[in-house]
Amino acid sequence: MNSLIFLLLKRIRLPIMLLIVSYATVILGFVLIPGQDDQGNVWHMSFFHAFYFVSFMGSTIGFGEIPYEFTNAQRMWTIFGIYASVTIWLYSIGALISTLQNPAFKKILRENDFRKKVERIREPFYLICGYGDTGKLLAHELSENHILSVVLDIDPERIDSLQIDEPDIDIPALTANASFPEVLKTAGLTHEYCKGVIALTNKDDVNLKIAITARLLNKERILGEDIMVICRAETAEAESNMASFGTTHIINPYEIYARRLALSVRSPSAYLVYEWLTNPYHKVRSEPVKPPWGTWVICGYGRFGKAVSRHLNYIGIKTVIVEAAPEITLPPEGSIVGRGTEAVTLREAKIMDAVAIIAGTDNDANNLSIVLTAKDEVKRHYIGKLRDQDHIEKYGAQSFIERIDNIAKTKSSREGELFSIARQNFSRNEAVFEKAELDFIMQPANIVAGEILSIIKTPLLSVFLSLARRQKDQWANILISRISSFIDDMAMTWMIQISKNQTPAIMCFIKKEHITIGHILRHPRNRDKSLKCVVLLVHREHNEHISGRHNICNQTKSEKSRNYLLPDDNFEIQQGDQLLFCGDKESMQLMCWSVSNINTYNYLHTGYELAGGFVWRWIHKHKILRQEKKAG
Amino acid sequence: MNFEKVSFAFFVVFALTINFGFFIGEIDNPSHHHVYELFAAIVISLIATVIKLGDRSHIGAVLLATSLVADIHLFAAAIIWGIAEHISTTGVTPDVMSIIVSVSGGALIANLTSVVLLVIETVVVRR
Repeated sequence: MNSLIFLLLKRIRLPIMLLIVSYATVILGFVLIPGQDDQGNVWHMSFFHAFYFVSFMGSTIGFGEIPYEFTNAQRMWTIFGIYASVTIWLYSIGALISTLQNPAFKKILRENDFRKKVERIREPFYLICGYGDTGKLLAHELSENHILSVVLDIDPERIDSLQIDEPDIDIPALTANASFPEVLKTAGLTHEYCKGVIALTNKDDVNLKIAITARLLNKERILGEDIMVICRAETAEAESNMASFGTTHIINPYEIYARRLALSVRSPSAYLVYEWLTNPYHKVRSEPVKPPWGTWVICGYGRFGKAVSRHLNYIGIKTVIVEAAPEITLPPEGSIVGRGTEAVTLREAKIMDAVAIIAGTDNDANNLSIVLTAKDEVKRHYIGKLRDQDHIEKYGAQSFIERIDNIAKTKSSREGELFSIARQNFSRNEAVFEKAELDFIMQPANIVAGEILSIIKTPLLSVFLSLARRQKDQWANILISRISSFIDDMAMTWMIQISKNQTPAIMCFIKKEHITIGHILRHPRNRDKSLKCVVLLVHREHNEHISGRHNICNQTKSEKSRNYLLPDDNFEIQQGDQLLFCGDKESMQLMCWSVSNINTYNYLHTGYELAGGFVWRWIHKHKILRQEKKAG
Repeated sequence: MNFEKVSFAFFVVFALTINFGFFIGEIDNPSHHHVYELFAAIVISLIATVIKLGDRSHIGAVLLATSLVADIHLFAAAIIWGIAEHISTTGVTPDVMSIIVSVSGGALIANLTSVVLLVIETVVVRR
């Protein structure tokens, strides 16, 4: 603010000076030049009159010659005065406007505006560095969930697009280089309400620098609890480097996707659970996609190809690599050199014997081309095979084509069909990818945004998922059937901590009574029904007391905390427990109501409507006492 | 030597000297205090103020403050003079004159401070 006014004044110093000088000269002139009063006597204008006259003359208002009619000498001076002062006024105003429109000045204006906005924030917020595809998704999702974010990006166009993307809420945003500590500080890195820093720039070293800055500028705060540092990393080196100084979460989209892909091959149901819980737009679907076992062809051995082939090899799937620049990426022995967009290369990679193709280059057009070429190639090969079997002679040409079409349509018969996965690097290409009939689309931006969102919104979810990954397919099937029995739209996940803030109603009961999960899951309008949700996980910190009843729950032992996977309805909850739920949206709202309203919860727990006021409560108490006396 | 420094010092010192010129004389004698001198003092003081704008150093800020004080004093003096001469029926009496001059005395002190600061800065810089 301060520097702003000074900068403005400095820029228009000359115009102001000219104005002062011209006014002084003209005023002095009027005082010195003798005039005549109405009697014809010599009369000298006083400074007061001269200033009055010049004031309205300079601004071209012109009230006339006052207080007496001017002499010719005075008029001559007036002519000079008008031209001088009007010209200088015009110049001054022009200078002022051009200063205000100066890009540098505007930048300072925006910066000031941004700084003030950030300083005024009085609610928890996240600092997002990098407003690309991922940042855009994340900022949108956060604002949907009523979480404030502050955005930094080096590209002014992206920052401008923020206002168009999120017209409803005012997200403070600034065009600046996030690798400068001063910029991060301005953006609220050391702000007491800053809950976390999310580094999503497309350069690993910038993300690294942000992580270091966040660590060093927040030395007095506990990392992970008071402030979270979440980084996107695309190489293993950057990942380990970030981990070395305590970055809370490091997100490598390729690694995550490769792990999920391996999971979907190994256990399609577990993968389905994964998708439900992590993807906010994913509709509950009962049929899991089953990627086939066999040889997979991977085109592009970059960061993505490396991660995928490593994970697939680990679970025992054979991969054939096709790579255009083997001297840089160093693929394993037996890889095929080529882009993969030409049929020749694919044939060389024995696409006919493969069951799946992964197009994982960093070029979206090439990826699509690879998948389409491979599909065509396999189909042609299949037709050739059929022809060999002399189908044409049997059924005639027309029915043969129909037959091929039928085979292509029914997915059950996968022969002649290639399982296809393509990497989509830019979200703007979404329309084309959707039409390409791919089995899986790998969207790095979505993966990173989804992962970060679940870390922010439901930290327990990642704990649950890592536990779930170790379960058998059978277990996932049971969970799926349980969830899909009551959810037909989108599955929501949410967390509740048994504490005074979040569940005041339960806190009133927990000292005296045993509270089980069954209590919480009852419907607040009719306690005989239950809410459409399940408890996925109970997380308990620092607890020595373990009740022996929960032997059915899968427990992972650690020194500090204990997790109970899918506890049953009799599971007893304690103060400080964190519960992860999955259910529909209505149930989430009803649950928030029942755990925070004591009357509602009392109904759930006892079946009686609790009397609200003091008097009624007193009467109620006496009634119970009398009943107890009667009973003995 | 550069022109900016010269003009800066020139106006700061000039504001003081011209202010002093108006101030000197018997305090209640209108013939010792000419209106032209007050006018010149105001104009020079304004110019000095504008010249001081934009300096972000601490001493620059103090210099600007003293100038603003001087401006306020001189404006007050001019307004009193204007009211006495044109609005009230009495005209500029010795009483009014003594008020005007004493107010301009305040401006004189402010301008003096300004010059002292200027001298100090010059001594400190030693270039």
